[in-house]
Amino acid sequence: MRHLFLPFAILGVLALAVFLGPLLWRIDPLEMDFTAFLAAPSLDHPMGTDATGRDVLARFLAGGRLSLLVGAVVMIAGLVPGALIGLISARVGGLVDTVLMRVMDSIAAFPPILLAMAVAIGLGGGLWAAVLGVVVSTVPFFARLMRSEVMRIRSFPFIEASEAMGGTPWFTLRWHIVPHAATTMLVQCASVFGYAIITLAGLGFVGLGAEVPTPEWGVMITEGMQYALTGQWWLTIFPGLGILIAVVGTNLLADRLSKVLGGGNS
Amino acid sequence: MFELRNVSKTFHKRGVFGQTLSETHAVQDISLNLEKGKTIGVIGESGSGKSTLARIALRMIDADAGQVLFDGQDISALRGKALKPFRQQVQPVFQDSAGALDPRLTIEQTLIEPLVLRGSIDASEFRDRITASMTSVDLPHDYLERRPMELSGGQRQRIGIARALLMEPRVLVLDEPVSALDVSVQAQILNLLLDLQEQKGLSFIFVGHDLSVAEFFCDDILVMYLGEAKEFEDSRILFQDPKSDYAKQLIASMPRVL
Repeated sequence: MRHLFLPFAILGVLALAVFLGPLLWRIDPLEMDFTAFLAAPSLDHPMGTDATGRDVLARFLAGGRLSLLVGAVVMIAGLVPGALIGLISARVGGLVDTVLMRVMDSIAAFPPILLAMAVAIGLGGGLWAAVLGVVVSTVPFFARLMRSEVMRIRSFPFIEASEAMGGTPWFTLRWHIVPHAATTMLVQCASVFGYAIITLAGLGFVGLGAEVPTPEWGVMITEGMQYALTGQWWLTIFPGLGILIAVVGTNLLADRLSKVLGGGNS
Repeated sequence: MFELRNVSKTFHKRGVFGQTLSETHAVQDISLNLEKGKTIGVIGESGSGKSTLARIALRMIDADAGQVLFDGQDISALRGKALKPFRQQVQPVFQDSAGALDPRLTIEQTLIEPLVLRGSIDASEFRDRITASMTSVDLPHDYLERRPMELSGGQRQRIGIARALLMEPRVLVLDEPVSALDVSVQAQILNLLLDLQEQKGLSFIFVGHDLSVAEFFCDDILVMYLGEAKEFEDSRILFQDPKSDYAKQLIASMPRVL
């Protein structure tokens, strides 16, 4: 458990800050302060203000909420169909397996970011179109992993023992296979969570994700980029740090989880 | 009581278009009849088809030809629910004691599985039955909280036996039950099995390659080579007077005290 302390601490602090922070820091992320355009960090605006006088801290917190929410949505929306497809593929086998896996292969053949972009453009852009694009690109990862896990676990003698005691395929699935696969899938979930955050920030950055006034880390970086060279570093550094912390935290979590859970697995 | 009648199994290696590339006659026309309280040994080198025979006897794979009979009833065509009574009567014990137990489950959870699968046992009886099974395989009850990886190979094999016994079977199919164990532990497990056989009137099919173990453990021995029965004989007679050339060679290759 002590291995998990650091990633949980990083993500916990970030989550606490972005979800509880707005209770203390009550400035609206869209509100413009006409007395302070591009103001440097100060007591009034700890992360400064942007070109239209909006408070960067309030936007940072709102952007963090959005990123964590979107990470969770992508994780769950990719996991459920992916795990089901992998399970059906491994369990039914034959033609069903071939067809499902070739479909997954064709999705995975596209670089994930390009696929997400194509879906986002096809659906007319916007945050939720981009989210759907990212979800589609994660499904094959979950499906392939689930399929290989089911097949790996099914080859152990304890499954044969269960069948010899009269365990039906449905029973061995519930009693042995799914609980085993769940640990591996959990690790995959953690890494997809980080992947979703960085990909959506990337899509926001190139203008295919969240749209301009929305406080979203990728959009904030795009908006602040032109001021990076003129010295207003706070516009890009803070959302950049936000992405960094979230992604380092989730990747560390995925890494440590696989170490901790891998210990009990044969 | 438990009979295999002329069973055969051929494995086909198929190409991309379903054409047969090669055939392996894993088991060819083997028959055996196991009586109550007796042990039939199936011995042979690796690739002789002995494990395939064990899996046919367990109805884990279907024979291409021949029948599996239990109490005179042909069960070779039964599937699913219809097999349930047979599944309860005939239980396996595996060579790989680590792989045979789910590493995620505690010993108690492992031993609950057969009781759940039998379906006819009230949950209030689980605890008593599980502790009784631990006693019957000479393991302390506080091991129930442990996981398989915290036990030694011999202890895990005892759990495998306890799990099989919770089904209250009449036949155990022992697929190389001691081959993976230290020699000192092998004797303990074999003696445990012999004690259980005596107490419960169990019948065993013992699959192995170790002739000295088979000589000690089995009443009758079937010698297999490349899927064929080379000799099927009373254990004492086989070791004193082997008839087939292959059995002669096998017995001549046994390490002996000179």
